[in-house]
Amino acid sequence: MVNGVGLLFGPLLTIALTAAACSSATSQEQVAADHASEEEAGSTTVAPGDSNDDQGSTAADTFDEDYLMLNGGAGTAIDDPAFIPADEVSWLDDDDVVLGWVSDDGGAYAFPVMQMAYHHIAQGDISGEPYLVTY
Amino acid sequence: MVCSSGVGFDPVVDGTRYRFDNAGLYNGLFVMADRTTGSVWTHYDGTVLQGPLAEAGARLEIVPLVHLTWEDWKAEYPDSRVMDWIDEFAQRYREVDPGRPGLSETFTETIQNFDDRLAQNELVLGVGVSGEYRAYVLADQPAELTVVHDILGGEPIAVFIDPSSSFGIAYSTRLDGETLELFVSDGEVVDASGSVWNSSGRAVSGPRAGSQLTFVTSFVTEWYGWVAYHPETSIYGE
Repeated sequence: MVNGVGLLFGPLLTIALTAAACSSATSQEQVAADHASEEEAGSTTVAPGDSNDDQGSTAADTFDEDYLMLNGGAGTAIDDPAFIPADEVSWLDDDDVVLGWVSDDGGAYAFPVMQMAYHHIAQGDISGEPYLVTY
Repeated sequence: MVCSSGVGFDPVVDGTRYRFDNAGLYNGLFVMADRTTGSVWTHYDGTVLQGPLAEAGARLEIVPLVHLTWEDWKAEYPDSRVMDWIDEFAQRYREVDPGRPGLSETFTETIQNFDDRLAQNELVLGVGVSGEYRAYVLADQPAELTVVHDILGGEPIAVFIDPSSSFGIAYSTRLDGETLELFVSDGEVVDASGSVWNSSGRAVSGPRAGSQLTFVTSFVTEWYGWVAYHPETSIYGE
């Protein structure tokens, strides 16, 4: 847990907790984030989707900015990460979880949650096909 | 969430390819901002909450991403490549225990809807078809690969689940005008023709080798996030 960073101020607190939440950290932070004041009022009403397969109410439909807490952009995303062969991986135990992406040409790519819990976003191209993996 | 929700997307929307940064929290899950317009998108249903692309109703398409243990992934894909370790972030990388109880106050303050039907951090496979949502509790299934047949949003689906691997994903069973009956034999998903189907919904041997099941929106996640985004969700078996 990164308490030292988290106590400084809002944006960093969010980054710290975002990074810590998937770890063993469970301390209940006392700092209340003033998320309601971070946003200006604005109308973002969006009509329900029409052609999308997933036609239920969406997060955009039911958006309430009082529940949105922005952190000013945390630079944790990784662009165009390097990939290595599975048999060269030394840091994963058998029961560690990975996120598996299979490309159109059948190539298999694993994104370990151990790394993704920090980066949250990995993006690039596999076999010329853009991908976005989030966690 | 930040914890335990791995979601894959096609980053191309209406012909434009976007790249993203982490932007904050909403409903206890991280949101992201694209670098082109600064619009704020969920990583949970791909919609835009705020910013220039919100009015247009832009949306990222969710694509299959398989959540499972390293042991099972490399058994299925021994030639897999793996996102490399970066020493610069070694202090930030840490063991993850999906479904571990606990939510900090900063997370709960961003959550619109709580629901006590399940424990907040219960691992579920969330599935959505045509606006109907259902949660399949991983721990309700035996600790081995299982196929659950169901109808969701009018679509016949097969839910692949293995709690021992934190694995779950769902596919339509309609293929080439037929509705397939899938079951597990000797630890593999098979159909009546003897074809064997892998976790990505592809037939890897048998008469249907090379065929691909149609993915339906599904990913492993924790209950609090699923029900915060989809309050109307049902729970399989209830």
